[in-house]
Amino acid sequence: MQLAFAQQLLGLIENSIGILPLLLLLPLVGALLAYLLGDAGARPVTILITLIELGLGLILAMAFDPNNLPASTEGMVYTGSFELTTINLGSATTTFEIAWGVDGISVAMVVLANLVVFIAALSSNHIHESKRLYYALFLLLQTGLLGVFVSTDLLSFFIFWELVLIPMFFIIGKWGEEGCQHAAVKFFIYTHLGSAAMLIAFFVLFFVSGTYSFSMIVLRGTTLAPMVQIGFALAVFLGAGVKLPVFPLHNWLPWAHVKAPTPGSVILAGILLKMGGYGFIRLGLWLVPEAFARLAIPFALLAVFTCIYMAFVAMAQTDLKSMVAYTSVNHMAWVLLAVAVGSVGYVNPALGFSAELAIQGAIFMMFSHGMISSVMFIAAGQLKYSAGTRQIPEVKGLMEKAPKFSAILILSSLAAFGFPGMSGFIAEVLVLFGSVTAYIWAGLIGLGLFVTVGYLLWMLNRVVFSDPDPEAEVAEAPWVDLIAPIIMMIPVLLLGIWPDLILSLIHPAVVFLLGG
Amino acid sequence: MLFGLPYYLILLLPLGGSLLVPVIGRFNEKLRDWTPAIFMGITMVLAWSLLLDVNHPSGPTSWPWIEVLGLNFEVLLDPLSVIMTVLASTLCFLIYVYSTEYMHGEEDRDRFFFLMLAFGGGMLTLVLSNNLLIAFIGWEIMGFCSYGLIGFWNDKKNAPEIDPTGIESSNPLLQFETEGQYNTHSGTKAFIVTRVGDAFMLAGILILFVFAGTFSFTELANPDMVSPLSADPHHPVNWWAAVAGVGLLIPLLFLIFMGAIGKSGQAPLQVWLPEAMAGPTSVSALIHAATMVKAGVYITARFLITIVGVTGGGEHHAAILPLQSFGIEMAFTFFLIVAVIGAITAFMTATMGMVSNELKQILAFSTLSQLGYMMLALGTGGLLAGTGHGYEEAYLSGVLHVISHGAFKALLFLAAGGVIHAVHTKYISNMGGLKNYMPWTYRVMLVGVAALAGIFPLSGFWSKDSIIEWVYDYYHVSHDPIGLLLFILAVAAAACTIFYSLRLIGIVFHGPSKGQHDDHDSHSDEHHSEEEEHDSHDSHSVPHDPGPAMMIPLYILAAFTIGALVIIPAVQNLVLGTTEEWGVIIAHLWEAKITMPGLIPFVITLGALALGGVSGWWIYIKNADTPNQIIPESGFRRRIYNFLKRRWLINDFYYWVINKLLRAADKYRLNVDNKIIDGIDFGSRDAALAISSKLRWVDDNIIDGFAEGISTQSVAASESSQTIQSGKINDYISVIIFGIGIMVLLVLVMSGVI
Repeated sequence: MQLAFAQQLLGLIENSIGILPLLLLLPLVGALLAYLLGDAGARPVTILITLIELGLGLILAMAFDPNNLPASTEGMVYTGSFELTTINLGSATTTFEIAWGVDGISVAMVVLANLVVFIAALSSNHIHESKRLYYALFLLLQTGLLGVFVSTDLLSFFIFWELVLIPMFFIIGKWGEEGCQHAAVKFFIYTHLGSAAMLIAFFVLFFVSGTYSFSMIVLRGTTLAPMVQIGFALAVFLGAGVKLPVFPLHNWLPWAHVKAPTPGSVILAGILLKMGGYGFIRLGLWLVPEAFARLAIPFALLAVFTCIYMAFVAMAQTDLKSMVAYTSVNHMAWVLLAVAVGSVGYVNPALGFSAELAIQGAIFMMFSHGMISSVMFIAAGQLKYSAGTRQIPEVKGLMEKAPKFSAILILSSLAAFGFPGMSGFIAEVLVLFGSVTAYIWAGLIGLGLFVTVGYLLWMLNRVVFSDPDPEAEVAEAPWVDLIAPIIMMIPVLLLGIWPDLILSLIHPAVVFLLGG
Repeated sequence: MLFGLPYYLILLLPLGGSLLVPVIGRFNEKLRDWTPAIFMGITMVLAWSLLLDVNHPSGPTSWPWIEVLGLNFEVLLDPLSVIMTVLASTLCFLIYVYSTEYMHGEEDRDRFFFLMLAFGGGMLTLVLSNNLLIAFIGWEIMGFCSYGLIGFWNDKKNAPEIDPTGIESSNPLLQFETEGQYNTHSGTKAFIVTRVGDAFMLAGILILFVFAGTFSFTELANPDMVSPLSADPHHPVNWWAAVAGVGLLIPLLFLIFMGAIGKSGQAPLQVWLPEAMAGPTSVSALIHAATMVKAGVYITARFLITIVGVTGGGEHHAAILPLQSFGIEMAFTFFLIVAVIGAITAFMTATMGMVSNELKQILAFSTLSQLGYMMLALGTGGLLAGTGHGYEEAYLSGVLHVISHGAFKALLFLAAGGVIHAVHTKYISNMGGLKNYMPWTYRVMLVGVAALAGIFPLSGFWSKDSIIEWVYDYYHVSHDPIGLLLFILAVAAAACTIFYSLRLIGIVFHGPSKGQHDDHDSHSDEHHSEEEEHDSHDSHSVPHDPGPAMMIPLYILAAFTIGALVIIPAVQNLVLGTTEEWGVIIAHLWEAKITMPGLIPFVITLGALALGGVSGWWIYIKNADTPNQIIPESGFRRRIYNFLKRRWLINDFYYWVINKLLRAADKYRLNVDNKIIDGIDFGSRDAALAISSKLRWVDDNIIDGFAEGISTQSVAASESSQTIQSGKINDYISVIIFGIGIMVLLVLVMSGVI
């Protein structure tokens, strides 16, 4: 969807600082500003900055021409770089740099990141303690997130990847609920171990590829030895698999999600997990597709297993937030399945179409899950404020006591298990169609979906549609708390009936990625 | 169109306006009540201006609707569509004006007027669209609105009025505690029965699309349109030949006709219309005169034209495409089915009308009967074309009957609504002698029934009589014994029609006053309290003619019915595309009746009318003051009466089947579903819960326990250099599982399996 005015606006920005540097720098400036303005001014500044970022993201998406995929940059446009340092390595000179560029997939993720961060900023209204520090960290986090999605250099990718960890660590550890420090440490160790494996792989690749370059664009054009590729793919699996997460690397997630403050959970589920999915696509499928194709069957099996396993584990949870957290893991398994199928399609052109469907489904799943899980986490957090507890068996009769809040909870639950007409449905259908045509047994993931429907409806039955308990106090959520989830439900419904908004953006990039 | 406005406004005004109704209702109730009338009035003016554009559109006629699917919204401006548009919009307008007074003081008029206006919009969508799929959307809008409107009084708590001459049914499905239940049941029945037809129709439309590759009527009617399923690529054929080539022609056409059977209440799906009288009278008028039931006739007529078009003009001249050997004669059986169903419906429902005791239900039966005539005319047109004669005149007579019936049936319903409004009963055996109380209602009603019966010179005479003539003409040219049967049924139905028309007038307007309105002495009774006084004023006052908003539409319709002769030639010129003089056409009309062979059906019809008319007049008007003893308590005549009263047992049969089905389903639920299926359900629920709690334990203790264990151990180890033996079995197991997993993966990679 290319709009003339957006292109003009983008042209203006591109002629001065460049759209991607602007996207990255604005939150940094904002962070400084928020910290300097103090507790009173931090929140307005943050909302303003995130809103501008969202606007910039949308302008980028509207002006972006998805069919313009220059072969010289492997499909990346709006490229640029900032040199950090140059090292002489005997014959070759190596430049360490921050390099950026986007294709359709990145643009979709940038829009999602800005959307989720904006919603998280809106739903930060219950944070009262050291606001200036909180919002400064919050904006720093945004820079890190965006950086991951627009990096075209392994080193800068890693820098941004790690940059996300630090503010997140503090947000969980300082503003979370009881037991949050343990959760923060756990989160940090897990993700850091994964990142360490990935960093080693980056350096190995640097030396053995023979290019002495960290540039992904250069590396994608280079033919690598099969064992190097497989080693790299396994390292990516560790790094991105922790973020996604995949069984058995997932245990940091329930802790971190449950103990984090609501906006922290929103960012964790809404966009941090998508870094894992994006890592799988960009570093795995985009960079070393042959290796992923060889690992496809174990990955797909693991994905199906994770989905079903997590669905059952979610069912046994009594804390709503914990249930939503496991639901996230369960949904992210779909992304891994789609990536596995996509890599098979790369080496086997007969499955090219299923691969296209699956990868589009993976990206659509990340986008839609980012929106839906944000709403669900806000709802789970709201339950604590409205009913005093998040324990599912203890809350009863929400529909009668708090109809507006119930509507949000019901709609987001329906969206979460893929009710037709909402974006989750499109995502599941795309992945399922793509996967089943490649591996018939991948249809088993439908069992996970089935269990998901079961436990979410069961939760609604117990919490929303039960008879109210006259003893318990349940209050309706105020509008100020409902505004963020309501805004977020708009794109969920819109994409449910008009998926082309995203699909038309990513489809050419997916075809390009598969060698089309 | 007028002022060069876009054509789609004709649909958009009522459909969009209907959404405004509830909004306006928030600000001004009176304006809200008039909103449908205003919107439909504008639409009507635009619709009339279409008459100038027939076949010569003066602007774009196609707009993209869903571009991805290549679906366009396209208006069709051929004579049939324009006539239906003018008719529907005009009648809707008059009925909406009438409704403003009729519904005055009712609850929840937002819903009523919204549905009414959307109903009209649905009909206009159907008749004006050149796209079968969009036409079907209009068709379904009407289905929904009829459901909502027939069951409009769904929350009436009073017990339903008992038919004094009714036969008690033992079927549990027909026991109603409140009138609201009965009304809801009626609405649901209408929806379900018409849905039965719609389901078949949708199947037919989709099959047609498979063969034709288009939904457009003009493309379907074009014999040069190549079917995507042409068997031989070197000799492309159109959809007609493609369908006929695989022998699906009659099934396909019949599937589509099933929709018309349901909507237009043809046998055997006629059962919903009599119950559809549960709604407010203006709804009945809308359903019967302007919309809904005319939809089936319209779609049949549309397909008649389309079939004639695609087969190359309906005459046996050489095929247009090489090797095309499939002409309209292929559809002979189909048109025979249409004609026979039409004739059976016309006769059967007319006999039912002779014994009904509910004022509006008599009119409903008469509608069914007249719809049967229309179908008969269209079927006869097809038969004539199939045997190598022109279809145009028979088709024209069908269209004329649609118009004249639309006017006089709206007139009858609206007048009947005035009567029911005034006497507060719907059963004619509780009425009588209203002639003196409601003189003007009586007069317009007389015009209506005379037209219905086909009395000269009213509109019904011209249209119905020519249908009978063309049926006879078919028999005359083909000597087909079925043609004779059709003719006999049509004439018999005409006799029944005049009989029940006179019965209606006689019982309602003649004879002694009785029931609710003869106690106007109590009106001046001073003992009542103020409130009761008000109440009694509402329900016990002397019946009188309704006010101007209700009467003026009646006068307009009556004027049209009387002056039909002036308009018929214009319609004929429009439909046939001729430019004959007025006098020439009228002369032709007479000539056809008084010369051979047209004289034979004319005389026979007059005889039938005399037979039915005299007996009806003798029983119900001449002897209106004496109690009616025609039907004895028992014996053959009583049995016939009961058979007709129970509507040929068709309705009872459906209820019997449905009741049995429901009972069987209930038995299944008790014996099979509850025990086995539910058992599986609950069993799997318990299993899922058990699995989930086990897995949660694994996740918390082994998977997470492993990581936590490692960290605790390493902290402990670094603090006191202890061994890493924790002594906890969980830790060991999880370490082993994890280690084995990694080793398996490594082995697999190394050995090149993956």
